[in-house]
Amino acid sequence: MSPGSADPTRVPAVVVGAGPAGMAAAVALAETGVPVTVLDSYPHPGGQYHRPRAVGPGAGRAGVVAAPTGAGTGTGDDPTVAAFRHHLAVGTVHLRSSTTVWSASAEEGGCTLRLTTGTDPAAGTAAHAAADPDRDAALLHAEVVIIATGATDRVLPFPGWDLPGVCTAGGAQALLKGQGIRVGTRAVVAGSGPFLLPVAAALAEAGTTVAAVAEAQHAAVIARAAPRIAGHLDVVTEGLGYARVLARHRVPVRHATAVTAAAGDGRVEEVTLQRLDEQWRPVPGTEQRVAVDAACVSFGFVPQVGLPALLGCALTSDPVWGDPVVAVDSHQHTCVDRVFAAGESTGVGGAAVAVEEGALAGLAAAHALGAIDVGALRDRGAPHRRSRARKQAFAATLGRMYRRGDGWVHWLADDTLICRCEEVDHASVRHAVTALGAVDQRSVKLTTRCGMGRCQARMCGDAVAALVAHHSGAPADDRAALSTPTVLAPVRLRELAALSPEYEEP
Amino acid sequence: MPARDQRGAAPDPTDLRVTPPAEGSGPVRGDDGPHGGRGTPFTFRHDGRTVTAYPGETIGAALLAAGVRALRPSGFDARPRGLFCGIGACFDCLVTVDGDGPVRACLAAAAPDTEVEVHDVPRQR
Ligand SMILES: Cc1cc2nc3c(=O)[nH]c(=O)nc-3n(C[C@H](O)[C@@H](O)[C@H](O)COP(=O)(O)OP(=O)(O)OC[C@H]3O[C@@H](n4cnc5c(N)ncnc54)[C@H](O)[C@@H]3O)c2cc1C
Ligand code: FES
Repeated sequence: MSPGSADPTRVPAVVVGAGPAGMAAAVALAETGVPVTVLDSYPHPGGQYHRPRAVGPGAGRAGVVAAPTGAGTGTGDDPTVAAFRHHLAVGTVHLRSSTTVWSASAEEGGCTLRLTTGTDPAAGTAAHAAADPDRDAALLHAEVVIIATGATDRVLPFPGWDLPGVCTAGGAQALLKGQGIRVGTRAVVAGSGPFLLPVAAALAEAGTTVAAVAEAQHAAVIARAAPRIAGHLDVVTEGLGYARVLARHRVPVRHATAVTAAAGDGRVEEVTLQRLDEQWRPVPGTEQRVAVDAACVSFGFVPQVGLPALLGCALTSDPVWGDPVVAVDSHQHTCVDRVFAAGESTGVGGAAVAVEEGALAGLAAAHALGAIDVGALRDRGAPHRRSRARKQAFAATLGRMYRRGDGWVHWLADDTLICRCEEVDHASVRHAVTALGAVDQRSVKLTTRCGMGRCQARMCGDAVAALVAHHSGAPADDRAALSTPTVLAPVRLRELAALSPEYEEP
Repeated sequence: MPARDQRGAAPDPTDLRVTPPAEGSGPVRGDDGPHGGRGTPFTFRHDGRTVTAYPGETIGAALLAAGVRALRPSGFDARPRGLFCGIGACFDCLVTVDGDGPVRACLAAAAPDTEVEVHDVPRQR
């Protein structure tokens, strides 16, 4: 059976997501002779790390050209990208880009995935359908599924974070890498984690004046863990490279500092930088106003677990961040038969971890289909298992280096929005917890609509959990036990007709 | 056409378009001017004005380059919203295209001669 056989809606293997994890999984599967169908929402493969340039020469080729510096980006000679491209060319991997899985279910003998096509559900559909006839197949049944749906930026709310010009650091990076557009002429890059440096360096190289990089973590906390990462020379060298770029552009990097407010008339015009104490409480009297037209904020990444939740995969709380992540065993197998997961949906570790997990998921899926025996699974997987263990340990160390303090909630004002979609402010969330007895994110949602909107709590879920803990005095709730979203993406009415009739565009 | 330093060719500090380094894949039309290498520009309409875009640009990117940061008023409090996550996850950037939509401006490609409008749907608490 192959994607080209009689019934194009039945295929042996589907990989959802064409980032580092999904590409590695597809390559591993294809190398065992299993035909693979890869689905990705974006017009081009690559995911976040290998996001290709969509504009200008070479447009659409994953990993060919990175951000102007090459900072934090994939490169053209990346072996996973090269192998993926090879399999696309010879037809062993079939890529359906601009295709989003918006709903899915697991049944006896496989999974049914419901698809919507187009760059965005209402745009560009006709052109795509004409170019590729099987695009219109809105259903796909697969014997095995590998979930590689990645993560989104984590942003902690602050007064004014909904102003235009405030964006995620990943979003700024994506605009630069994909579109060759810088978010502003004068920016701050703020939040926490190693990702701030490549973004700031790329912006500076692109001509943006980066007024400051504000890292919330204390330098001493980072330095304490430094000996444990010193052995990872590649990463240390990469970090030093960004530091050199920032120094060349005279970009100040300030630790124990956060953007605690943004202000402006209709768009961000200035941000407040403020010192944080060891618990990340803003220190009064240390406010400094900086004029900017962009503020790029990221506190790391939050795994996307909507699809695995729909398929019935058990979620677990990430040991470092507390985020719900897909629970997998050493073969990247979820608790659902023949459903595997790899990359950041199983926990944030960066592209290097994602490819090892992807390769292992691909091998395990091949074994589940009978394409390789248990000996081959063990032997071919061995180097990836070793590498995965080493890189996961490193990622966990990094995570602890940037573990956030609870004091950030003190930079919220009463009227600071927590839920951007439903426009629920901090006072309402606090009221739900202290007066209405809400004990977790779910009960806050039911009493305030916080997290009920279009983004499915992807932007606020983490913050709400922290606020519940803060205002109730109880430890953070187990967010892995949360309710599942109904749909993963907006769909056209005709695609919905077969399903829940009461869904309406919120 | 040989690669050239586009940053040198675009001295305007307010111009947000950075032309990525040329890749040696042969001549591309529209190589001249400050955005050389981006291809041949086209226009669409947004909120009564004409906006220039290049092939492959998203609506959101083209609007940002044109200085448009506020894309829509929020439903309840009519607070301005713009590109936030940039990858299709937050739904802040909704616009309509030729009356269709809403679509996410950060994902949807700009298309010639389209009418992009502000997605303004007031909501009641
Ligand atoms: C905006 C952003 C920018 C980033 N930029 C960088 C960077 O420059 N450098 C860096 O080192 N790290 C970056 N990261 C971190 C990133 O998470 C990498 O570590 C890496 O890309 C993770 O690989 P992955 O394969 O797990 O997921 P991703 O690369 O995120 O790939 C997941 C893919 O799944 C697709 N997908 C998700 N849901 C569906 C669905 N329902 N249907 C169909 N397709 C779906 C997405 O379109 C995406 O292409 C970025 C993260 C974000 C959020
Ligand atoms: S900017 Fe977040 S969905 Fe477009």
